[in-house]
Amino acid sequence: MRRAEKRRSAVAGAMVRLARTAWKVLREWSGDAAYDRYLRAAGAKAQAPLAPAEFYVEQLNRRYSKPTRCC
Amino acid sequence: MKRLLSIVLWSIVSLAGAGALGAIALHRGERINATWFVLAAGCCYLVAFRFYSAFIAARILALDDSRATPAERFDDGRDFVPTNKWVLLGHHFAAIAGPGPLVGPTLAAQFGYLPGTLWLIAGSVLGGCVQDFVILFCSIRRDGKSLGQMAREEVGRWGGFLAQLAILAIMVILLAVIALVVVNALKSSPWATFTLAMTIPIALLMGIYLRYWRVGRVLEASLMGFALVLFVVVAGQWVADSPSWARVFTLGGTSLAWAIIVYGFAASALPVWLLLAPRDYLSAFIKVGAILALAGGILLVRPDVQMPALTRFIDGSGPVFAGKIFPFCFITIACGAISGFHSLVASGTTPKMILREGHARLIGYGAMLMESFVGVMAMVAACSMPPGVYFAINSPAAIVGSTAEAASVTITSWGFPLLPGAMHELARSVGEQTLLNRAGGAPSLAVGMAQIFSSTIGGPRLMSIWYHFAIMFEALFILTVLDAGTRVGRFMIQDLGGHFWKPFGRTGWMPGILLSSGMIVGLWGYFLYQGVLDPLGGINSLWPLFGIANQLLAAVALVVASTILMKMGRWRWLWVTLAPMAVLVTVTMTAAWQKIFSADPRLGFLAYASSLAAQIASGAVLAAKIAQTQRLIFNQRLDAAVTAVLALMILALLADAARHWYVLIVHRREPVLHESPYVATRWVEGD
Repeated sequence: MRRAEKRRSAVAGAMVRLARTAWKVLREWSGDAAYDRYLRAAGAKAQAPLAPAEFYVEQLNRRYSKPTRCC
Repeated sequence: MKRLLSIVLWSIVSLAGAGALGAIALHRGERINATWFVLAAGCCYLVAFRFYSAFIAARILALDDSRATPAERFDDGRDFVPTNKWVLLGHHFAAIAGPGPLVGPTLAAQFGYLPGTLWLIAGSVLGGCVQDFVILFCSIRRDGKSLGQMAREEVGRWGGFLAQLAILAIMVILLAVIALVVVNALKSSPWATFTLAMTIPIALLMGIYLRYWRVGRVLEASLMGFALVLFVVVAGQWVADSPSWARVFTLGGTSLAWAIIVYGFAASALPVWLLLAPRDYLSAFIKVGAILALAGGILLVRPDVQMPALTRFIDGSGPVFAGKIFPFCFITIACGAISGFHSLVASGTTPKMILREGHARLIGYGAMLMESFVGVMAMVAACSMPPGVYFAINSPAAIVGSTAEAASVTITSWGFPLLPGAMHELARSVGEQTLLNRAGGAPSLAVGMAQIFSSTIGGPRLMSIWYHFAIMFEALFILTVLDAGTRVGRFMIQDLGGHFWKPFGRTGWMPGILLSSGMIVGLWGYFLYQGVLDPLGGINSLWPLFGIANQLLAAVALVVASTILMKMGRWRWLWVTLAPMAVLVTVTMTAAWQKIFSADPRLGFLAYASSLAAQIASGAVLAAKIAQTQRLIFNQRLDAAVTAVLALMILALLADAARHWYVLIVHRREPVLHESPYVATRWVEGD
């Protein structure tokens, strides 16, 4: 009984870890996590970071000034 | 034991791939199942990735994971961002996969399924993937420099200038031809036009949400946008059923062309966060989702391919576009096999985000294999519909007639039986008035996708919803390329103009923005407009031009790659980049020659102009149509001139490269590599 419970909780734990990883990958891929990443980089360099809205507009302006979408 | 297992496994994969390729190549007379295509492509890609890309990575490029990448050295959280390799693979794939691998194979299906499929597989494995991989590596070793910068530094000033010019040329022609694909897909279709028009307010809403309400919450906004897009796909049916609303959204070719031109100007001049970026987010999600759904659908439904392996049109008399199998199959299928445009992405954002050099193999080579697989799926979708239906949708009215009855007689006489009622029935089942004369590939691909999707979910009842979902998916990401391309083109024009008049080069100066946006939109808008007026459907002249321009850029990339390999002393392995370059140059030059000088008026621009001029001279053209015919003559001559300029650019580039290579071969000068110096990584294994 206890072994079955242990197995169930191990499976549940693995599922939660998988879901967390998938969520993290999705946030990274979509750009949702861009500001968090920027804050980490700015923090490491001890720079005063941009506000979220400033960062959002600035990164879009830069991204779309060179080819980002292909034929 | 492990080694033995590996040998056995890879032998099975190789034999399965060879067997499946043999099956699709030698099959004649009966229908063949799509599973063979998936198996052939999948096994070839696996073997190529496991062995050929590993060989390039180890022997030629000598990828070094102990070397810090630009993402590590310049990590600023903006441009240089160390990124997980699977996330970056997704980014890179979403960036390189555009309408090309869907439209090109669909058009090339007029030769039959075999030539296009073989070129998609062989071209990508030996050409396209190599180009993307090597250019990505070169850019990583040069702090993420662009193709133009690398061409200037490694080949010479002339090479750099040609690269810039090629990029601008491809941009203009690409934008015109993809806009034409959208026009042909939306023509006289209130449902499709309404759905696509509604994506503009949806994108604006998302833009405001992301900018002011929930800053940067891309997932939330995309989910909201996706739900709204699904709603408007369904709501389009109500619009089409309402006589008054249907009238508003039923537009002809020229009206649609003007609407897209105005839209392109707005997208370029408006702030990027308002329209361009949210549309891009929405399109990236739908693109990846629809491609995965198509792959799943093909595997589940396993449709029979009804198109023969080779059709009679390999002789150059094809109705979709003119020209023989060589060189036009290789020009028509550009992006699914090899695309010069990819080298701009491989030397753009991706090299600045890569964690380790070793990841370049998966991202550079692997992402292109995925794109090629998209091309194979598009080929399957196009070839799984009855050939008569395929030709009725993709042939212009000037060749098959504008009624179902006329098209039926012509297409049946080619050996592809088509009952007039079949086209009426098909149009009715997808909720359209007609599907005839929709050159451009998008509607036939949408029919193929809808047939596959409705065989999986919903049955014939949902056929019309699936068709309009597929049209929306294609048009949505075509417009995203149009928005982004117009904006980049605007920057290039401002950059060029800034050399002559400083204020014009300032990207934030409103008169400069409006003027440069007008110029780039005017350039591609002109080609779009001439395509809409062309009685042969426009695709016949514009798609080959696009293919030539794209392969020209690929030739530039492979010249840069070969020069760098020479400077690295990899003489023995130069064939890896030189062989695809030689094929591309041969194909492009032959196609350019035929498009300019062929005596066949359907193929040669000058011959078509002469035949039109002769018609005017003989009085065969009505007085009211003389001005329009004269404009057609001018357009054909303009297309001939553009093709000639592109061909001359290839020759000039080759001459310049040959001069540099000669100097390197005879050791007249010590080779100077412009690589950034080695810096050891500070990251431990597994970072």
